[in-house]
Amino acid sequence: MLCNMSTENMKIYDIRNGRLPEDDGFVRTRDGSICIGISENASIMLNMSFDGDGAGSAVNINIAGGTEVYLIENYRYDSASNAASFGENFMSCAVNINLSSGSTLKHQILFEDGRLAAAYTLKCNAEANAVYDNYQTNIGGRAKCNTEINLNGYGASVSSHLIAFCSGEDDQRYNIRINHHAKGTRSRMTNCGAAADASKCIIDCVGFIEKGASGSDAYQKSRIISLSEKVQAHVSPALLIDEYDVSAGHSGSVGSIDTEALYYMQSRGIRRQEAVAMFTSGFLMGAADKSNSELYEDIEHKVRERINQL
Amino acid sequence: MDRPVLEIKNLKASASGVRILNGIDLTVRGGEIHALMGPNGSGKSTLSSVIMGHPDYTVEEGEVLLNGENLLEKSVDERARAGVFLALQYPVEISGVTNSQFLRTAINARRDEKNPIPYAEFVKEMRKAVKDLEMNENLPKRYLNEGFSGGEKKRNEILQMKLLNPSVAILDEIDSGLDIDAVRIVGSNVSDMVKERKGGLGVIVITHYQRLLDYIKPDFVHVLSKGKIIKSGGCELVSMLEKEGYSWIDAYERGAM
Ligand SMILES: Nc1ncnc2c1ncn2[C@@H]1O[C@H](COP(=O)(O)OP(=O)(O)OP(=O)(O)O)[C@@H](O)[C@H]1O
Ligand SMILES: [Mg+2]
Repeated sequence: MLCNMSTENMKIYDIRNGRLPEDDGFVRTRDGSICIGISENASIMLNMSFDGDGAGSAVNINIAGGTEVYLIENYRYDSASNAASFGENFMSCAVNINLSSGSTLKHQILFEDGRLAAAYTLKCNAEANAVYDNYQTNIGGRAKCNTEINLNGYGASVSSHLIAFCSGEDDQRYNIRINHHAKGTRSRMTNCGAAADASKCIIDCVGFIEKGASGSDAYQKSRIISLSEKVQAHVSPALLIDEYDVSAGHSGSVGSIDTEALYYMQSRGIRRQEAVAMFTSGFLMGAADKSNSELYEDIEHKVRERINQL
Repeated sequence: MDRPVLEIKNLKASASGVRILNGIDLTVRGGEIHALMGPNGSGKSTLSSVIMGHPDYTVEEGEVLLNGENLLEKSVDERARAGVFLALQYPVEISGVTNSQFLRTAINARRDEKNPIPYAEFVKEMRKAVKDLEMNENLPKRYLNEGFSGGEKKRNEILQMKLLNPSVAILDEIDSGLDIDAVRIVGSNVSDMVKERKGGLGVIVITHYQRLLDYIKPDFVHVLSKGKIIKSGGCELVSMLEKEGYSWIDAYERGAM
């Protein structure tokens, strides 16, 4: 399975302002969009850098039946070419993914650069028995992210994870919707946010089970830890269910750090600030992919760095 | 005689405006083991929480000294670094933080920032402690207490104690949830620590049962009732309590005994 996939044999593409330097037959530009058609197992990294003047990008990915794919999208601000940039560094990106029957995709989306204001839209259609594992990590900056996942074929499943860390004046909004359009489909959603200073973090999620999509199940769990009084944090978890024969559950909450946990850590000699950092990063990393230890450690390190700056 | 590691003088404390501790006096010297017993709700856990500095409790009167230094003006983490260790009656689960990450951070908090414990040395100490306590080798890699069985949590508290080297350790019902073998293992580990530290470690063992005290032989036994130590003695008190329970307390307090 995908667990063994690492960044080792990864094909890496550097894409600036949505433009691919050259087609290699595998990753191509067509009608201004980047198109990737994948018909055999592959690991791909898209390094997406933007100089912040509002460039947009569209990526279309088609994954053939039975194929296993590991895809990393890495979004960064590229200041080199834009020394005069000031104010907000806007970028937008729309990613469309089609998963054919029985295909598997593990998908990492990383926003690690607090200097970007990102508008990111992801749409994924999954056919019968496709397996989609989505991990989105956003550890700073402004972001408006819309995710729509459609489970269109029998037995398609998705597990979707979000790590969101906001500090300073960050403003992050997430809309995540999973639509169950077919029988026997399954979704798991885990959203973990932490908001500090005067930041905003808003997570809206919807699980929709259409009439006729019997035998499906949809579960979602969202929590934001608020680290300051000035934070605006909001979670709205929703389940819209038009079919009887399903199982579903949701929970959503905004709260501060568990004081008993802090006391416990301090009672072992750990200073309060360190305890807060350890607790918060531990909580956020609960939504991280543990199977790629390289990436896991990298993300954990960056999350800690961010929190230590508070 | 060894010098006192912990001195509690006329300690009165409350929570949510209600008085719980009503003037406790207790001195623990290096190398000594004190057993603290008493009925449910008599204030045993409260006393340990107040010593550790739990934010729910307010000290109204009295003093607590650790190695002669005022403990009450210190924060929780300062108290721990000064040498207090409290094995909690109900250890907390913390998701996403591994046991070993937690311990290494706790050890390093006691060291110079520029001189953290070398990884290899830490692993060696940790492995040894895990082995001494006959714990599952996977526990260090797991999230702190998350999904641990009751007994595993308690052993894990003692694992922390072994690695953190306190000068006074308060073990709050460390035997609850332990199976018969585990009581022996935990008990003899604690006894061994007291011996090895040669007067550098004093222990307060809070328990309801004799079994643990068969392995951690107390030098003194105290009975707490309604926030006061009403009787102190030696091991004979333990067997008396095993036989008679606490029904004698009322009569005793009325002066009938
Ligand atoms: N934070 C608190 N707020 C209010 N009351 C408290 C608080 N903590 C303890 N108490 C009360 O103080 C009394 C002593 O409680 P404590 O937990 O110290 O007893 P204990 O001797 O440890 O009992 P047990 O043997 O059951 O563990 C009880 O009546 C308890 O309800
Ligand atoms: Mg208690």
